[in-house]
Amino acid sequence: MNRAAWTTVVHAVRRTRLPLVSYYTVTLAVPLANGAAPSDAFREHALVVLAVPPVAIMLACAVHTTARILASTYRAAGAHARRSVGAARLNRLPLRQRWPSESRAPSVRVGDNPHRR
Amino acid sequence: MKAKRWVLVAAALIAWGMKRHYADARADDLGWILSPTARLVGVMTDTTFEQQRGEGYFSRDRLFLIEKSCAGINFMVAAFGMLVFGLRHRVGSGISAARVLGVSLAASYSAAVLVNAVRIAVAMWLAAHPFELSAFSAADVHRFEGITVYFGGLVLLYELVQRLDRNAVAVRHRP
Repeated sequence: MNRAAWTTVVHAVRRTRLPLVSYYTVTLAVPLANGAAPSDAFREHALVVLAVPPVAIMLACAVHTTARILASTYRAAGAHARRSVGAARLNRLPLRQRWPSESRAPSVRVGDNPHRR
Repeated sequence: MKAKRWVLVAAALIAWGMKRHYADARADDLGWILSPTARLVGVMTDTTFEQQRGEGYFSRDRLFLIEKSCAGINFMVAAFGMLVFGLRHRVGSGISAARVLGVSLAASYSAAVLVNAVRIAVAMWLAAHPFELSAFSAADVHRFEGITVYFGGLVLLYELVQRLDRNAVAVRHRP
């Protein structure tokens, strides 16, 4: 697990610590206080109860991170496509319609530095 | 400070009372939570549950019994404790303490009915569509499902209450 993924998991655990503590209290601490410790069945159940929530948090983090990456990729691809379509449409227009205030294209093009002329 | 401490003591006593009631109650005594849960599961799964004296709520067409251990009292106790602890910063007087306890109790009851109904509906679906995993038995899958749904329900409830709480604070401080 890389550092960014580890940070996400730690952040998620910190964010869900109160639900985690209350869940462990009711499912583990209360039965333990009532003397459930010696039973093998309880020990097995306790192991599963201890393990499943952190695994669920990690899975949720993985799903969330994947969804975020996919969403940003999709947004970037969409923006690129919109720019391409916009440029293509602009190129199809006659010059007068591209720059309505002037009869010709402006003398300064994008990327030109007017102070150097 | 004193009111906050008292609200936590009162919450612990209420939680203990709920656990005590759950330990001593028969399925018929838990109708206050089993009945709405059975009705909600019936709506979700398009099934009818009938009350069976001393056993719980039974669906004849699915051969599924919602018994005492499916009541979701443990979830309700966990949710109640979590909400009171999470909302304790709102306690300043006796009235606000009673409000926090009342809201936490109502929210934990509603969440227990809803989350438990989802858990039972998923369990019914899993029972109708069994899938083979060499490492896990059907009981293990049922256990994983229960833990995941209950813990997920607690997290969602906590996030919802935190969001509502933040919005309420923002509205109060708006000029």
